[in-house]
This record gives sequence, C-alpha cells and structure tokens, in this order.
Amino acid sequence: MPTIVSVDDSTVPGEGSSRLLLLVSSDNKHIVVEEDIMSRSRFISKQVEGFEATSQRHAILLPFSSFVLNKVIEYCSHYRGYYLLEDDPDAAPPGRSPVREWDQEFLDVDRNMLLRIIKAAHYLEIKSLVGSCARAIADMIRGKTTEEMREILGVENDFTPEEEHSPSSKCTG
Amino acid sequence: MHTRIFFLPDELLLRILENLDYKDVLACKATCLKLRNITTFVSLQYTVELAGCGMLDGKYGQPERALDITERLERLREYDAAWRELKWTGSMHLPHLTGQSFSAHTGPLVFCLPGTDRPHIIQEVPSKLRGTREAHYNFHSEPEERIKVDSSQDLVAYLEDEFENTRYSLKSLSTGEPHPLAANLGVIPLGDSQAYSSILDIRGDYLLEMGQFASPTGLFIVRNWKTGLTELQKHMDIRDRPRCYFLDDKHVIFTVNTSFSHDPDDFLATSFRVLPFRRSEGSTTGTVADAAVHFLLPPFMHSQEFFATTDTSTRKGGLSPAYFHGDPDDRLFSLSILKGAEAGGSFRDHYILDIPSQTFTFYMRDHPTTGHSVVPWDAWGPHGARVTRNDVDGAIRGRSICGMRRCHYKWKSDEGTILTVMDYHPGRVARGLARIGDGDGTAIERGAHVGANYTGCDPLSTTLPCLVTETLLPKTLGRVVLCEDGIVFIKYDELFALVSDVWAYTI
Repeated sequence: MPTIVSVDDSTVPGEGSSRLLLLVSSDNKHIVVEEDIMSRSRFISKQVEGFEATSQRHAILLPFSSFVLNKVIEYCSHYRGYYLLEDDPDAAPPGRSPVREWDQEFLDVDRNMLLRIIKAAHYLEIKSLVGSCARAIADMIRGKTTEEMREILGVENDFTPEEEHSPSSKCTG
Repeated sequence: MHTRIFFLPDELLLRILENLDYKDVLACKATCLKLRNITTFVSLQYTVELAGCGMLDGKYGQPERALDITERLERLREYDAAWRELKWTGSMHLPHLTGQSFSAHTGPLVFCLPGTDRPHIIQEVPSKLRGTREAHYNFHSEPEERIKVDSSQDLVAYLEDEFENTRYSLKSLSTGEPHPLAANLGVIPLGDSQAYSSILDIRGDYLLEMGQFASPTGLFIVRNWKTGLTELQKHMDIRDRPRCYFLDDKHVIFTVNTSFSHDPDDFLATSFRVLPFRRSEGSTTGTVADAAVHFLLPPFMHSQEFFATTDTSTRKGGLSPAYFHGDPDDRLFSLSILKGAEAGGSFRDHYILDIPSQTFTFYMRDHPTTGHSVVPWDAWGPHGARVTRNDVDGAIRGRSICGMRRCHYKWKSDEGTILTVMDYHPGRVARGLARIGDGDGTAIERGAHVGANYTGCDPLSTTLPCLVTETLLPKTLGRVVLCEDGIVFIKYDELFALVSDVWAYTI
C-alpha cells in the first residue's frame, strides 16, 4: 500500500535548504534522504519536478529492497556535488565507461548483488552507476571460456547441435 | 543460488557486453541463443569487425563520437571489402630523401639522414587520417632498434643518449612535445648497468625493452610507460637474439634457440616461450608470475632437411628472426619454413605456419603454473594453426600481418611480383592473390578472390625497376619502395578515400 507522507517544508538542520525525500523500498522500509544527494538520478529528479508542479510531495515507492537502495544512496552520497559526464543529460551517449577506483571498491560485492544494483541504477536512471556496474560484470566474464561464461552468467546452452556448430561468420557479415 | 542474468533488460546486457573485447564477445555469442541475439547489435559487431581488421578506434584508443556506430560499421565493412578484393591505386611519390635508412612503423615513415647528429625525420604516409606533420628528431646512434612509433597512441619512443645519461624519451608524434600520458614528463631513465638497450615492441601501456650487460646475458624488461613501473625483468641468453613481441596485453612471446651440440654448424632447434608479465589486477607491488609455456616446432623442423633461414652458405640453422613474424597489435603469428635448401640458394618447398595467438593464450590458461610445460606441435591442430605449402618459388621480399590477415610478397626477377593475402578473420578464411606488374604500381592486376584451395598462379613477365628495398606497411595496406629516384609509396585503391574523413581510424 502506498504510504502518503507529507515531507513538505522539511529541511536538514545546518545543511542549508536541502529538502528531504522519503523513499520506500520493496520490503517496506522508509528511508529519508536529502534531495540533493538523489539529484543524480534522473528518475528522482523527474519525480521532484512533478512535486513542484503539483505542490504535492509524497513518498517515492521503489521496486527493490532497502539493502540495494542503501547501496545506491551510498554511491550517490559519495559523488554528491561531483560532475560525472555520463550523468549529464546533455552529453553524448556514453561508450565504454571510465574506470573509477572508488567504484571498483564500492562494487566489490557478490554477483547477485551486482545484478540487483545495476537493475536499480537502471530504474533510477543513474547512468554513471549503470556504466560502472556494467564494467564490473564484464570484468567477471573477461577472458573466460564459453563454458565458464555459462557458469558465471547462469545461462544454459540452448543451441541445437546444428546451431552450435554453425560458423561464426553470421555475425561478422 | 545463482540469479540468471536474464532478469536484466537487453539494454543492460548490451551495456555489459560493450565493455568486452572481440574475443569475449565471440565467446559470449556461443553461450546461448539470447546472448547470440544480443551480439548482433551494431555496437558489438563493430567491436568484432574492428578487431578483425586490426584497427584501433580513435586517438589513444578512445572512440571519437562524431560518427555514430552504424555509420562506422558500414565504412569499416567497405574498407574491409576493399582489402579483400585487393584494390590498388597508382603510386605516389614522396619527397626524395637521401636517407641512409628508413623504416615504417604502422603508418609514419622514419628516415635517418646522414650526418654527425644522424637526424631523423618522421613523416606520415599520404593520408588525411591523423594529420601528423613532418617532424625532426635527433639521435646519436643506430636508429632501427632504438626508435618505435605507435601512431594509434600518438607515441614516439626512443633512446636518448646524453653522454653517460641514456634514457627513454616519449613524445607525441603530432606535436613533438613530451607525450601527455607519459610518466615523468616523457622520460624514463635506464637502469645503471645497462650498457646497451633497445625498444623491441610497444603495446598499449607497455614497452618491451632489451638491455645488455655483457654478452651473452641480456635483460628483458617490460615497463608501463604511463606509470614508469617495471612489470617484468627477465635474464635471458641473447647469443641468438631471440625474437620477441607482445603476444597480447598480458604475455610476451620469445623464440628460444637450442643447439643440439657444440658444433657451431649444427642445426639449432627453435621453440617459443610465452611469459606473462602483468602484476595481478589492482596490485601495485605484486610479484610477477614466472610461468612459461614452451611450444615445440613441428617435428620436421628437427630434420636436417629443413631450415628456417636463407643462409645456405653455412649450414647453420636456427630460426632467423626475419622468418618469424607477428604483428604486435594483432593476433596472428607466422613462421616461414624452407625445405630443401641447396647450394644455389633456391628452395624447393616453402611452408608457412600460422598460429593465431588465441592458441597461445589457450595453452597459457591451461598450463599457467607448471613451469616449463611443453606443448607439442600437433596439439595446435584443432585450434587453428595452419601449415600452408607454397608452390611459388622465389624469396619472400616483404611480409606483413594486417589484422587477422597475412600478406606476403614473393618476388621473382623475371616474372614480376606476387602478393598473397591470407585472411584469418574470425569466421572466415580466404585467400587472395594480386599480381603486381611494374614498380610504380600503375599496372596492377586486381587479384581474384579465390578459394582456400588455390595452388598457384602465372606471374606477369615484367620486372620491378630499381628495387632497393621495400616494406609493407602494416594496416596502411600499401607498400613503400625505396628506388634510385626516390621513395615510392604504393597504396590500395579506395581505402584512403573511404576513410579519409574518419580520423578516428588507425591506419
């Protein structure tokens, strides 16, 4: 059930006029976070624009667990106030994501968590985090054989014998 | 419990795969139907095609965003087709330089002029691709092994002698200024005890060097030129001057010559040795693994009948460096083996052995820590190594590996020149032949695109005039001929027209 909570006029003491947002995770945990921090997320920014248009602020429901959400908030807090090219809505679409050391350490989590973070980052439209997660997942399968990749990705060989042995020139034209 | 990766939308799967290189993309493609479909996305096909052509994208390997990927892929395919169909154009005369030596390094030409300072001139072959201007550098010693140019990274690396103070200089090819990405403002000092040093190869961030104290011991060093850190130091016997390259961004490959007896005229056996050079990921002080794999040459190499050298005056065998060829940026190694050397210097049969370097890394992965694992020659078979018998007599004048292709010039003074191209692009193997009528390249017969079973051809009956020396330019798909009246650059038709306004392509 959506929880409507008014957080209008809330400010953080000593932090200027940054407003607070109430985020609700899929396991129904309520997390209060500064609007500033979450402005990296296009999804949240659009929600906030909506609040301003209607003068109605309400809790934002998110389809992932508080565990994942806290991780995303940690990421956004770290880069609070930083300009990251990939998150610039006016910049060209990113190619390969740049390597950021902090991100590598931050994303040193198990594979399932990584998949959940990338999905959450995609939902929240945080392109820099999507890019870093994509790089981290790619690192797991880099240099592996096809068989090892199946194991890591959790996929099964569903080719018919003919398909499996067809020449790879199909994709290379 | 394992979460299936397919709970991610396609868009995210694509973002993940975009971080991989072509080998991983091809491996991924073979996992299951869904990932096979995703690998048909344009951006991933572009990765595969670009690698197959042995090209890098953009300055310092970073893609330029002026063109979108679809357009790039289209142009790349046209370029590729022009390559396979061996389209030629007329010659182009470069300014005459009375150079004592010249060499080509993946694009720019390096001339050495006579004089006490031995000044060098670096000039790009005619192309609008990079806009490299003519540049002069001064050296005080033999140039060939002391200068390396990597145009894809805008890098000139050379040894600079200042009295006792020898060091590497790393400059930007286009500006002549210290390279912006180089460690310590473009200068790396040599170790104290290195009496002699040369740069053997550059790949990505790494320089492969050889230092010498006193014969026969040499020191092979792999250094990261962006950080100045040493990744590998290895003492080796250098009496036979092993040939070495970077095999990929983690391994170096050496030739190792072994004499069967103390008789200097005795036959030498050659094998390959692969050494990993990189620290473990993320470590700044980690140790370098000293695993190595030896590859034995085919058994017929051990017969007295076979020689891997053209030197027939002495019966000295061994593998002449000239006959072991690999492109540092690419993935194919080629070895020429001549059978039946006779006193007159003619050869009855000529075999060429091609080994895709994935094969080396395949064994590296399977035998990473057992010390000196020996992999027998016949184990290569199913993984792509090929032996090709060449029926055309005559010495090979030049040779190059361009991407996953191998190019050979065979020259016979009375019958013209034949160019053979073998294609090892992932997923296709083909062979093309071109016959080159005369020296300035104006009467080139376009080569037929023939099947892999092609066994011979009839060379034209014209000769190449004033041929002094020539070299194939890797990746530029042209060749440079140094004649009495100047330097002639012969290039393939259409290639430059196709890519002239795509400066993001590496030539």
